[in-house]
Amino acid sequence: MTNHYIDLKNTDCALIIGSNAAENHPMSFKWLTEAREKRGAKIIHVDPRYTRTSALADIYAPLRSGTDIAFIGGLIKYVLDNELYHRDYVVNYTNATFLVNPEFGFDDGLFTGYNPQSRKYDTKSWAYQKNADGSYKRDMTMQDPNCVFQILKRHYSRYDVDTVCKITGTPKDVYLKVAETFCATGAPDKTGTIMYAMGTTQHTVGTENVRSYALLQLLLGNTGRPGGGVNALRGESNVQGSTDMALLQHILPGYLSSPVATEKHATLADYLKNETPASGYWTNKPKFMVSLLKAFWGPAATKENDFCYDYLPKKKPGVYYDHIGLFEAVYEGHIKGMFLWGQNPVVGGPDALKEAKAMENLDWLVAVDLWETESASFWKRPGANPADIKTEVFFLPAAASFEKEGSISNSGRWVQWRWKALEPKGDSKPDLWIIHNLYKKIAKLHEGSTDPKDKIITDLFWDYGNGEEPDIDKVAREINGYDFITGKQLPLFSKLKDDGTTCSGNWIYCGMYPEEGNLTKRRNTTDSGGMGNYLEWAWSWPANRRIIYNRCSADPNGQPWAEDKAAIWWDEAKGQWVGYDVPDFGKTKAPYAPGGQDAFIMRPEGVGCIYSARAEGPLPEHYEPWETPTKNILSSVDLNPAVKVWNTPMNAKGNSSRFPYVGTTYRVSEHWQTGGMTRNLPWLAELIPYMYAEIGEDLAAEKGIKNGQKIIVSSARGEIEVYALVTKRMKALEVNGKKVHQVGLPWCFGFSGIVTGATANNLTPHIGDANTNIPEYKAFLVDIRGVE
Amino acid sequence: MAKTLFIDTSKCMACRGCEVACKNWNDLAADIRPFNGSYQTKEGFATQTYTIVKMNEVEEADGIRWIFGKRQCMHCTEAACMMVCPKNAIQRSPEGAIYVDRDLCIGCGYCVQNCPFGVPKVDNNTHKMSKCDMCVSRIENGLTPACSKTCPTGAIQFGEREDMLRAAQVRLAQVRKRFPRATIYGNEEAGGTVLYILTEDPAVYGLPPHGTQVPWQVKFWQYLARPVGNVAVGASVLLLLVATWFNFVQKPPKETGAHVEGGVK
Repeated sequence: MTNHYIDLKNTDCALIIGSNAAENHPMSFKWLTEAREKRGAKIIHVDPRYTRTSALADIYAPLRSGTDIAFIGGLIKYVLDNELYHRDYVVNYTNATFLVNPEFGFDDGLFTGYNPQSRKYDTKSWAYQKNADGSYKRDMTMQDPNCVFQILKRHYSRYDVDTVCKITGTPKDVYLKVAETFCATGAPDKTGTIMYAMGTTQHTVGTENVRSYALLQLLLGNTGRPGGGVNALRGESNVQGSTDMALLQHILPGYLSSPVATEKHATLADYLKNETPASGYWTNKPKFMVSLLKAFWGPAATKENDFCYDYLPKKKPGVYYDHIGLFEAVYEGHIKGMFLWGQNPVVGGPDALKEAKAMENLDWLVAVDLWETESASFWKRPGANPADIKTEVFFLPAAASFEKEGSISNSGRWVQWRWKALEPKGDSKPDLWIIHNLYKKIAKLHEGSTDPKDKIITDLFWDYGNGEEPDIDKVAREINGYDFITGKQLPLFSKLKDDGTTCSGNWIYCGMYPEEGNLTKRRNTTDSGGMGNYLEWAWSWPANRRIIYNRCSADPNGQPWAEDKAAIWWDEAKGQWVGYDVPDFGKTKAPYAPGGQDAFIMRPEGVGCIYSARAEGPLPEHYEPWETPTKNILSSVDLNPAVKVWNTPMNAKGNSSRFPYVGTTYRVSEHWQTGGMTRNLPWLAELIPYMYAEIGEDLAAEKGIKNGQKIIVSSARGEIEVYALVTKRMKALEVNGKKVHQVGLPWCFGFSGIVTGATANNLTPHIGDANTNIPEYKAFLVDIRGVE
Repeated sequence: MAKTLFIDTSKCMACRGCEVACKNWNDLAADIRPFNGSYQTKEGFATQTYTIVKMNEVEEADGIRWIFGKRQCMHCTEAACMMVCPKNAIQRSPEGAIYVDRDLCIGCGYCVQNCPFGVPKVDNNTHKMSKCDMCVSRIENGLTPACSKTCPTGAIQFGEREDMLRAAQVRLAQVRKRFPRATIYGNEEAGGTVLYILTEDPAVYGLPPHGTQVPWQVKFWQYLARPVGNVAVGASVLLLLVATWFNFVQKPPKETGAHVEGGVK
């Protein structure tokens, strides 16, 4: 989240899209309820299904799954046509005024520079124009045909309401109501928030879906302000923390790029030269990177040996290390061992039948979980013959959250310490204990080795105590970072150095544990200004800022756009920024000083990017999902031109003549992810005890299906037998002149636990987004038929 | 002072956290029923289910609505269950919670038959009634009921009855802007009960109509028949005693024991 959960109470309008917030993030509705009660805020829900969130919304707008960019593109056009954008904000705080290379263009679904063989873009023609001194060329009147604002206008001129509704299937009157309501937040004294989740990201256009929201929020002047922002409701309580700590393959802790085995990253100097921009706060990257290497290898990391940079694994260029890529490699037999740490791909993975099959190629599997999940027991899954599966499986019982101590980082980036409430049951152990003792065993095996390749282990700086129990306080201290010379904790990331005298396990967390103590343990409920920022409750990254980009909460002269939307402001007498939040800006940099209006300090341009290069282009463009019931009516390019298409046995493709309905997977309030935890707890298991498919009454009537009967749902990947839940809430949509039905499938069922059911992901495709390769779980084609 | 729950159905999102919190605090067994084609998997109260969230899909002119409302014991000021209980097993705590003393309960089921809200359930094996007791064990220790404690949106509030009524009245004006049919329920029903803001007709939530009162037959039983009956029972016992005494006095038994039943010795 750019903002945080409590800040939702400051909004005038919440656009919930790609999220079922009421069911999956119920606490968000605590604050939305307050916004409605105290501010008269409106709540809009845009979703393929009418859910419990829709029931609480003022406006529910249905859309066909996978058409967010068309939906948002239409809103962008509506904002531009009706001049509803926040002009002062757009001119000063975004790159709308920036001039782009005149060679940049767009035609029939493709931007300039596309190579159909590699399915990749050469982005040279997308660059900004620069002056001789290297500064950016801008047209503050936004009239230049090459300025981003005019490019934006041209690009979205095709997204008129009729075309948009033909793509999304949203009734036109409802669409216009959404446009009128949300786009009113472009008024300088209003803010609107966009809340999203996996309904946004799990598409072949997932990244650009999010980008389209960011773009709309910049136009309306909603980012960096109380009650505004682009707010990802993260799928698990600590998924923000695990992303920050580099759960994903493309980053190191603190969002530093993972090195790739190319000349650009050959040495630390090469890496830093190519990864460090010329302007913006990321110019400090060398300090963050060296401090990270010092946290990894401590005293062994010296200037002479490149701070052990060579020990970092380098990815092979062109190889996919994400979930889909890994399972393709397992299927092909390239990967022989696997750790599943609280992960359950046999239920949660795309094309899950094949992922389970792929796991049969493993020599060994270690599963760490609270219960024996479907993945831990894949070798005895229905239809498998254990005698034929040679994988050696180890199951390590893990302690639950209440049975261990540590911090979790919520969606709003608040890092909150939790204390242990009770001892773990039986042999179960906290994750940290498991990794600590695993390290100790591995270190023992390599003790005394002179083999150079073992130095990555023998040189490792594992300073968390020598006993069986790891010292979690020392872990927290190291994540924050300290000075090797003074031995003192660092107060903030601005004190990190690139000379090897400081360490920090994650530069964005530097500041959570200064000399005065672990700030994530704070529980002070003082709320200066009543804006809900609670600056002395726990600690939030970066630098305890609660709303990032909050320089935007003040006008170019440094004063709040509206009194009830104040976060920080310039105090001329004090000569500094003051307010209810920690300024996301130079504390003493006056609004009239050079760069005093560069509100986005992390960007080299200093402004928010309406126009920003991604794998598939600098502006979001609508493409159809991998499996679609229709053609793209905006261009002849159906599929995102930059996605990796896996021509492998794992990704059979269905067409709409055989599979006419749009399938989409989702979670429910009552179950958690794959159900590994909730289907083993009787009080949760009883709430939703059976796997079902949600279908509309009209589709049920067409197929002669009755509510509560068994049906088969099939896709090109497989078929599952489930109950039919026939509901008025699912309605057919009119898409491009054709009636399109959608089928909703909760993905929380499998064959283990107190309650069991068929796995929805047996139907989902093995293809992902062009930038992140997150699987397209949310839009695929299915058929249904009744079971006698 | 009398306390009560105030349930604002306009804030309920049917997350069902209250259902789980209730089972947790009261340590009630899970109850897995056959698939019923609805998100509302618990169709009614049961001996191990004291609270449920009703979920109704309603088609209206301007689209579909999904209407939610939490149900539990209404803790009536004029509680029919108490009135008909032949063993005084159903009692009222000083806070206003109506609870059952399971040691006294004989499972006769009169309460089940007479509750206007269909709340009490009798277990066929244990022959004991069970229902929501407003978490009396919590509230008498200054805590709020488990359902109220867990509710994320503040749809279930708990406090002094007067405060709750005032909150409901303030809230009603706001809610009516979105839901013109909204009403307060529970101010007068059954002498005053748990308070609700209902966005729809009570029937949508399975509640009896506004103005529902305890039937006169129940009151008749409570205020007339049972006292008279008690008097009658007392009179019979007295007569029996007198007769026995006369019998004893006039003809002392040769063998005692057999004639001393009733505690007269």
